[in-house]
Amino acid sequence: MFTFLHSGDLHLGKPFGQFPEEVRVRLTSERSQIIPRLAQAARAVGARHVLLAGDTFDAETPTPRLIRQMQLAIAAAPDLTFVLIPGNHDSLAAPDLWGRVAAAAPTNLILALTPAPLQLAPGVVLLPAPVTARRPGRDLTTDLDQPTPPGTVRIGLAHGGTISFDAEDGASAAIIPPDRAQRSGLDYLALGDWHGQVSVGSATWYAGTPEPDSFRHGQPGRALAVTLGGVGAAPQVTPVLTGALTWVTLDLTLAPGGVGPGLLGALLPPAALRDHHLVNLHLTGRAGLAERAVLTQDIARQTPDFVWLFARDDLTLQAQADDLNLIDQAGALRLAADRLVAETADEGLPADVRARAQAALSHLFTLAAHA
Amino acid sequence: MRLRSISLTNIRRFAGQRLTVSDIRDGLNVLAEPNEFGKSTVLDALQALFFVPHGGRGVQVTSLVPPSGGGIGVSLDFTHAGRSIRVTKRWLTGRMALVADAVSGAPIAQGDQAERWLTDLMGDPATGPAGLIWVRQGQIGLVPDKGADRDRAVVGRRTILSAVAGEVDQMTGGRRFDAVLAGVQDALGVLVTASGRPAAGGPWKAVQDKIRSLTDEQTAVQRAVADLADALRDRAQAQDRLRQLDDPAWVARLHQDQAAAARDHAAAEDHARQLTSAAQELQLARLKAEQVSAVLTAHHDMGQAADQAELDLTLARAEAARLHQQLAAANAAHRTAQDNLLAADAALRILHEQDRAAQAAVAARQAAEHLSHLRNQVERAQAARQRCEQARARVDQNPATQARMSALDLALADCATAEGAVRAAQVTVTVHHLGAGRLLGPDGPLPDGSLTVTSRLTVTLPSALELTIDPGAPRGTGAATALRAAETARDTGLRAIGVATQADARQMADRRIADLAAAVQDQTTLDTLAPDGLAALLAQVARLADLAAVAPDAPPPPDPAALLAAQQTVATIRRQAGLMAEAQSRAALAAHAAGMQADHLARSADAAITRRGDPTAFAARSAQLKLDLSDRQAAVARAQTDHARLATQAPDLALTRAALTRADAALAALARDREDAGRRVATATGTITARADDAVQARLEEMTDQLTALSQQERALAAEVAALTHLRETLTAVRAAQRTAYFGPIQAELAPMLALLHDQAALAFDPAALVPDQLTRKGLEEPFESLSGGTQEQIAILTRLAFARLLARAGRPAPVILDDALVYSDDDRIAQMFTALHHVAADLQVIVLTCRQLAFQRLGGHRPTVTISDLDKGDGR
Repeated sequence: MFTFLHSGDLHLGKPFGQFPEEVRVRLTSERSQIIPRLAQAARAVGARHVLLAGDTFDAETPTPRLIRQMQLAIAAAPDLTFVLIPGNHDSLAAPDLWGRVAAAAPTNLILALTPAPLQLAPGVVLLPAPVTARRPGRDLTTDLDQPTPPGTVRIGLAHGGTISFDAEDGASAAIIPPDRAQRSGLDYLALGDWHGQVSVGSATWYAGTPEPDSFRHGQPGRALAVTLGGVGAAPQVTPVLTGALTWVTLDLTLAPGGVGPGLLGALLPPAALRDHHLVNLHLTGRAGLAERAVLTQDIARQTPDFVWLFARDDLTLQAQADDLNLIDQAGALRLAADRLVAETADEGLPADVRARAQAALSHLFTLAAHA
Repeated sequence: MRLRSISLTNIRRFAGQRLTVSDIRDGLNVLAEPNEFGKSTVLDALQALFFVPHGGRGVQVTSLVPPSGGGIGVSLDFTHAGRSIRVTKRWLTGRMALVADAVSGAPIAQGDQAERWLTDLMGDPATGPAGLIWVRQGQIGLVPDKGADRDRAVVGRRTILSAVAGEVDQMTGGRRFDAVLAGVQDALGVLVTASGRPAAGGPWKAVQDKIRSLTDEQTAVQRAVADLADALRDRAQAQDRLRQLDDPAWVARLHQDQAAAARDHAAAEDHARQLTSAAQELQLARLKAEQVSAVLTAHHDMGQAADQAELDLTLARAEAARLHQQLAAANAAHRTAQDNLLAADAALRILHEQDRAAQAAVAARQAAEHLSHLRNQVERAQAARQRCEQARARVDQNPATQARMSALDLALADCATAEGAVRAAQVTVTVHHLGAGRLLGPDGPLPDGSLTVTSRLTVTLPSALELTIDPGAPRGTGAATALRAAETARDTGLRAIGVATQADARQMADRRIADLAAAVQDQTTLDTLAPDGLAALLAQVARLADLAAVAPDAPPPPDPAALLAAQQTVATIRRQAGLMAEAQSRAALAAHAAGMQADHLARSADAAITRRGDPTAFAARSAQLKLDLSDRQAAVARAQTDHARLATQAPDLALTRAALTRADAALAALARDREDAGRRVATATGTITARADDAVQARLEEMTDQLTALSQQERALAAEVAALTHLRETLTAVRAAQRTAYFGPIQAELAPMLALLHDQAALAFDPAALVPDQLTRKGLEEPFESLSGGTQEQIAILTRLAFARLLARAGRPAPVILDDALVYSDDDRIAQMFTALHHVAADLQVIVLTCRQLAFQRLGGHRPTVTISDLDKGDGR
């Protein structure tokens, strides 16, 4: 029985330049705590080994400070052994990186920089397939075919895409055969590259990133606790939560009259969890002027609750009589509003002109409400 | 409302009286009364009736009280909504207010109820019909001076305009519209400048600046990332190279290659030295053989030279003899040619002498012929000269010069003039005796005929008559004096010419002119005959005389053919003599040269024979030299064999040297490449370390993300600006259209009346004050304040008339009252204004109060009846 924690794609040092400074600091701070959280998760499942399947670093030239912090974080868990291979983001084409890491590597860190088998425990061998370059151009997991003594539990550790789904950065030209574990006689193949947690087969898993860095996968940060009962035995794979922040995309499709009190509050995470959430709120459908104004105000009011909340407004404004009456029942303001409504609804006008008219109408509604 | 009559009781100057203006009709009513009559009092009384409560004691009431005091009252009959109404009010004493049916007298409202009834009817004094359309004396414009009144007037106009066109605020949006527009402007002001560019300090500009700054920084970081990639690649290559260079097998092989190349090259150099020595031996043997061969050749040449010299000498001597013979023959031929030439020249000279003599004789004959002609010409010229000199002498001696004749002619003319004058001054008496009696003068009887009397003359007819003729004071004294002076001048002129009469003088002058003409003619003849002068002509005669005197008897000239033949003979012989001379000269030179050559060859032959020496000894020496040459040639063949053998076995020295150089270079390159690769590794490592410390890749990724986010922001802000700008444009356009619609009704009312006064005119309205603020005439825009007083008051009245029509249209017809409203207008404009008033009065009641009775007399309109009666008597006028 051999239990280990399977993770990868830590992307230490990811800059998150698209976010405001305050959010960026928070994201970087949480990311720096990944290794302690992985250690905690490993201990929780009784694992003594943590296998990191590539992309530990986000770039091939991380700062010395970042390398040092990683080394210290691993050294701070001497009861565990960390084994990592280079991924496409931190491939062997960056010898300086791995030279620096190796130069002051803690004793509990094993750098699998060659395909040489590593014995993790008696009768348990790790077959690594380190990524040689950002785009190696070939299937590196053929190295996992190398023989081991009979009766040895064989664990593969590799990084890259297994099917034609778009791998991270879309750069995995070398596809790992989905049946690699079977072909190479592996009892478990621990894969990295895909940030979502997904199984390719009973013995082949992508662990997903332990700390998400985008809204793409819609999953919390997780690792996998894997227990191998012996040669040929089906692995027991259990997801383990490791992420501090949750990235979630929420779609809110509206119909006129659909905006009511508490609509947004019901959709958004509970208040107590919001400080750990990044929310991408996508507004679609149709709404009246007043509804949209109410919704906009509500979003603005609740935005500070979150690490980050971005509302992408693709609403189609449907100006109703009541809305227009709120602007004015008659006179110049109402005429201006009617004119803008007509432009908004005129399908003969270009889309950008209609969008401009819609935005102008929204401004008019807001300004008239405060006039 | 239509006013019918108004009565003022005990008001102002009508103390104890009642003023009644009655028979006020629909349409235009004109109350034309002199100043101080009290027209304005009527209007004030109407104001009080409608707007001052009967309990009031304010200035509006007290100003109506007459100096004698007492209660005051106003009563008004009018029709309204089909009813005849009478309103009666009294203030101060006996205060009351009563609204009653004018026909039945039945009260409609009393006291305060009556006041409310009136308020409902007329509204606010400023905002109601009175404020809108009544014009008080001296009120020119439309806007009251007081702020409160002005505001209330605006309210009134807005009320009526709103009644016909909608509420102004509803139409133009009012303050909410202004607030919205201001909000749009404020929001835009934060983002953009007035010209639409991103505003400094605004978010749009800030984002754009940040994008620019970040893009610049990104470019620098991209360069740093590229540097890092280059460094990584370079270091990897350099490290690969170092690994290759440090391979021990590779290094040992290089050293082995170098040692083998060095050995091969040393052996090759030794062999090369042996080959060089053999080549030198061969060269030496060849030199020795060549020396013997040269001696043998020289010896042989020496013998041949002696033989040849002897032969050449023999031939030269034979040639010299032949040439001497040719020289002798040439000398003889030359002499013969010289003799022939001398003889031919002599014959030719004789012929030339004969020809010259014959030509001289011809010239003498021609000179003799011309000489006689010239001599005749000389004689004629000498005669002409003599005549000319004689004529000139006569001219010189004749005193009747042209000047003197001119003076004489002038004097004669003066004499004639003076004589005429003297004759004119005389008294002429004509005597004609009819019978025997004769008149006797101082000198006896007077003959018949004319008698000039120049002084007192007494004649008598004896026994019958004594007649004294007195010509009076001497007449013609001046003429006589002039005559004497002229005669003196005439006599002087005659004396100067030397004649006594004018005829003689004229004759002399004619002769002088004839002589002068003869002199000129002779001079012309002389110039023709001797154009170069008589002396030159005489010299020419002398020269011809000399020519004619030479060889008068010369022989005839030789035959020209003979002369030509002699000349050709001489020329032929001279050419032959020249050729002979040339041949003789060449023969002499050739003979001399041949002699010289023969002498030279003789000396050479002697020298060659001397050098050869004895022929036997010469032959022995030749045989010895041939034996020596054979030995030397055998030695050369041996040396050649040795050299060829070594050359065939020699290694390629250049090849071994190149191999050695290459081996040495490989070792040197090894060291150099190691040093270079090490340096590249160090340099690249430095760059990599520096860039890694800077985290340039992470920084670049961060910047790219930031730029993406900023670009999204920038697009959002641009869209925001576009939306706000569009909203502002929409609001502005809507408001402009609404304002046009709002003022439409009053513009429609004003337009026909305005056209009466001004062609192609239009009024623009101030949207705040709701009154005209600009007049446009024929395209020229004029602010209302800049118009003349007359035009201002005319427009103000027309505007009130337009408001009155709007009131009527709104169901609130009210009379228009104009109290001396046309102060600044001239008569023509007043007439035009009355046309407008008539136009309006077709469906309105207009009451004009004016003091200009005559000016308004012809303008039409109904004249209401004015009655003044004492309160206790009731009489009126």
